[in-house]
Amino acid sequence: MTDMNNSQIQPFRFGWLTGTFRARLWGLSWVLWAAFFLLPLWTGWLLKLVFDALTTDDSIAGLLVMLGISEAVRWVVFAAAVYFVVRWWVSALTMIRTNMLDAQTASGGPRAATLPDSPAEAISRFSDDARDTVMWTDSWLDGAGYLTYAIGALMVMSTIDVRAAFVVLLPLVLVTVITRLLTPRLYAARSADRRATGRVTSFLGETFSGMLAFRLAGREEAAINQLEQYTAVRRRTAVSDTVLRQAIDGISSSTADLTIGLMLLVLVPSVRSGDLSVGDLALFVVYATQLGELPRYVARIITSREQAIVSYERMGEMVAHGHLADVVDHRPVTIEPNEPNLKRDPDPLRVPLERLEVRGLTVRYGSNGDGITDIDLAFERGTFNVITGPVGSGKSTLLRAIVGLLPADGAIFWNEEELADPAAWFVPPNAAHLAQVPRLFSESLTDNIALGRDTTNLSSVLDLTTLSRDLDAMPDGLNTMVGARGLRLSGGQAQRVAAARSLLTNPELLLVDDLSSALDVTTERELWDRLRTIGSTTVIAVSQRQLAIDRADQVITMAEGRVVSIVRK
Amino acid sequence: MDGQQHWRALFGLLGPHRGRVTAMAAVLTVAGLLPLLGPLLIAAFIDDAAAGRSQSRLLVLAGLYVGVGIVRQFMAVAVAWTATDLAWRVTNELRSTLARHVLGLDLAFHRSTSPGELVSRVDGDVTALSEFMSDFAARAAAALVTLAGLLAVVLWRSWPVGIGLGIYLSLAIGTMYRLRNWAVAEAASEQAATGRMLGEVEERLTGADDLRSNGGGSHAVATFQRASAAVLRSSLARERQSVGLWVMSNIVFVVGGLMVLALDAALLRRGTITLGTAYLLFQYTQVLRGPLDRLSDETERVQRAAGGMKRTLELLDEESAISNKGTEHLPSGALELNLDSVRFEYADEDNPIPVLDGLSLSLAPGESLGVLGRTGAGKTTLARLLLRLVEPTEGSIQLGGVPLHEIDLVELRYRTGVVSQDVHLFAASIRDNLTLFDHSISDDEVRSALEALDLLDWVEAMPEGLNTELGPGGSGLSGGEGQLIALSRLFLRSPDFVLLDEASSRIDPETEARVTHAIDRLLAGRTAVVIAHRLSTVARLDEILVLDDGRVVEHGRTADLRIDENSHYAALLAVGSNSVLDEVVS
Repeated sequence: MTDMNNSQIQPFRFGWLTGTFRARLWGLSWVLWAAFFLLPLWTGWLLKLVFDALTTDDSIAGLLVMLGISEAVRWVVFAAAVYFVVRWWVSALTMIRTNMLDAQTASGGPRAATLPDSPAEAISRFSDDARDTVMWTDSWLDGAGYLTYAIGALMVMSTIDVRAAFVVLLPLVLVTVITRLLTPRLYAARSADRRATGRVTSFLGETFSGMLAFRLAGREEAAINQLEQYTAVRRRTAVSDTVLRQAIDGISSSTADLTIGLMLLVLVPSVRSGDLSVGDLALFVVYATQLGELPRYVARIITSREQAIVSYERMGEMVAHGHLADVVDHRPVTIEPNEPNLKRDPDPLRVPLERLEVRGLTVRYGSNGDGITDIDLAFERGTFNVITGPVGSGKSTLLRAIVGLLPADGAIFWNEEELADPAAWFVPPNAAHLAQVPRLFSESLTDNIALGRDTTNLSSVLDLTTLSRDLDAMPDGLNTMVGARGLRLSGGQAQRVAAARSLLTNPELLLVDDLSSALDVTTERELWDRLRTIGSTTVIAVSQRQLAIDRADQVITMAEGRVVSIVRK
Repeated sequence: MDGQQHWRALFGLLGPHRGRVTAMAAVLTVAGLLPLLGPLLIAAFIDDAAAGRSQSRLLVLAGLYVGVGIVRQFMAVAVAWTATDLAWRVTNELRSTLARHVLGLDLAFHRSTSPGELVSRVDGDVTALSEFMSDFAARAAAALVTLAGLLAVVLWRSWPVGIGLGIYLSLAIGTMYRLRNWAVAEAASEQAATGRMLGEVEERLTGADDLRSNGGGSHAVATFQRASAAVLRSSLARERQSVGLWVMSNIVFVVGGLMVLALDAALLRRGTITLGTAYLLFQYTQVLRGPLDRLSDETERVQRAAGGMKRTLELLDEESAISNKGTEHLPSGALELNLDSVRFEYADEDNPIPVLDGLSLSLAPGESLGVLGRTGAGKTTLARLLLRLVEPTEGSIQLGGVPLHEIDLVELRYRTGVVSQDVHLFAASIRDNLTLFDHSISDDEVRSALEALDLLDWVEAMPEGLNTELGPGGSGLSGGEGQLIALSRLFLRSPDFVLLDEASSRIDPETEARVTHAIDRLLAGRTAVVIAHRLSTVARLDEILVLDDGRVVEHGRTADLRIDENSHYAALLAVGSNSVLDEVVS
């Protein structure tokens, strides 16, 4: 990460935005936490009265009852505070995760972004990093509660003995200085630990998805050995991280002992003269013990700020470059029991395609490293266009560049209008892209095809892709859960489901990347014929099959990233 | 599962680390006893002041108090160091055990569980355990030491109070102990909900391109929020239990404190104790309160760890449907293959559909068989059966005359090899991709395997030869080049039975020539089954089998079928094109 990006991280502003995402819940949490922290002031005073009564042999029964009641009130306040904090906490986490997921899956637009690393590695950004930033905002509640307590305690103490109240403050300064000195090292240790964790999780992810490769080669042990190298590194980074954190924490809590010790030194004369009662001493010890924890809370805020900066930085890589604040953007989150589920966004309005033209389209690094250079092509409404050519000639790259999945130079015109953001434009119902190796998701067949869209057109695309035949054999029909990544379906079924997905909205433009492994010949022939009779859909298909080429209105042959021939019929 | 089992399993993990556990126990003992010194010093301070002792004596007591405070902090760091190191050592072993176990589970398990969820279970759950051990368990042990020391001091100061406190504390601890599993079920379901949510995210990220180009982003966000709603529900349920637990532990404490104060009053009135001792006895209830409050704050951690352990044990209980009980050995040299009326159907459906039926064939040692058929004909299932990734529903498969399930699985994996269409490549060096991270294979061995396949020049032409790093998912290599890697992987082991799922398309001519050449080298002298997509490959094989709808529709010697003009193969040859293979077959 560059310094320029670092400077964009504003932990307080981002933290505030995280808190105010559910302002009402957060506000209630503040009030209740303050009450929870202030109640011990009162119980401390009751304790002083108890010890004074013990010294003078008065009855303490009434005082003990009051102590018990005060404690009970504190429990109720705590339970209520936790209830609000948890609801705020999960909502805020969901907001942050939604922002990252949205950026990663957006079809173009200013928010869209691509993955910095593997999907498995990105999971640590969704879990640990998101949690650490919410923790940072959460630490303010504790910090503020404690600060309120500290001010109250100092005021009460100074009414009894001003010197003692003053002495209490001294160690706090010392601790703050030491903490500041250690914090940069903690920051470095935390970063190293996160990197080591990322290596472990991404290696595990790859190992499990490549399970068969290890299994069939009988090399499971080799994978475990490699894993052990990575986990051993992480053990060392985790130990440095924890020890530094404990050192900062520990120095802070040692102030409680230092404070009481210093206070006793100062109080020796008044204790000897009898100006200070045992009750006063008990009160001072109780308050000083808790005051001594103040630096620990301050340190917690400082360290969680450092952790949060690392995490904001890592989550910033998941959203559009230079738009770090997108991570904490307030957006609809509906996860409470009484809230209706979030609806998918409506598709853009259909703009009938008369003519699609690409001019000078150039991609330096394509899908497999093979680029395309200076492509000029035009496609007329309702035509069937086939792109053919040897492997590595840039056919897939061309399709992916047109729909905006690859950054490209050049211009794309939809009815003579130049498209500023192809990725945002080439979505249903304007266009649909059927990838060579399409991905399915662990949800029902319907959801995989419709992706939350209206399903009135469903049965016709099921027929079109001959999926209806497969459905008859499935007990749950359209509600069949396809398993993780659609693995419960056969390869051919999965590709037909993806084909149905891209046909559902009857798109103006259909870009198909090599259907041959998805459909047998009869089905493919039938599909092309029926698309032709519907007539309005413009098709651009990558294919080597003669039956496709026979039906084409335009056959484009590519080689080495360039168009070598265009045959119109 | 009984509630104690996961804790016992956790302690079992410490077994091999006795030395480190002992060192940690020593550190914990010192750290646990130090908090008892402070109140003793203050009690002495109060009594000495009341007795009018010298100012210097009071100053010494106050100074000692400061010194004890400083030593305490050094001990806290020492505890963190030893505990964290031990916790990660132990849990890293558990991670390896789990990863090894998961790698051994069958295909059905891996199909129903996404890699993202597995990562969360093998690493996430175990990290919860490790945090539990280093943060919570160490602190709890120190609190126990404090407790024991405290009882000793109180007995010394006033034995009636000591006995009373002992009875009370054992009741209190008994109660807390009984509550330890208070929220385990809730914690486990919260973790499960989180795991499902993260698994879904991982899947969406993997398929992000499909979502982008099909305008499915907002659908992914909507279903993600539904999964998050389940997380919120389970978090609230778990938090309700945690708060209940915290309140109960507090009740125990407040009642204890109030009882000691009442006792103090009675004993003071009788003159059995001094005011300093009265203060000490009360202060000691506070000494335990601090650590216990903090432990209670972290009951979440205990619950998360218990949930993690529970899920970990469940994962370890998963058994592979493919048993590893075979003990038979294979004859040496090329192996003969026999299939006898093999039938296979997917077992997990209500009305099972046969994928393969009545499949019988024999393949002599060293012979090669090409399998043709369109998508869905059962080719992939046949391959999985031969590799023993699934077991036949009926019939038997024999390799070298031994039924597959009776062969020792390790030997079976060693003696058979496969190149699948979908080669899995790793974000690692070419060397690691070839050896699959087996560092015992020397570079010379790798080079000679590559040389045997005439691929050494290909690898050495890469930017950094064997050290060339591939991106995630092996990006940087084309599909055909992936095949070359897979062929070389195979050659490193020199198996006697080979299964080849030929790439159906998308190979550039130069790579294709290399692949063809490497396959020829590989098949020489080995029994081989090739799921073929190219006529040029089929022509070089000894026999041909055509599958349709799970049944054999043609089987014979290649040479015979070539001249039989009614055969499917002859029909294919007549068309004479590679790319139309499945067209004619269908």
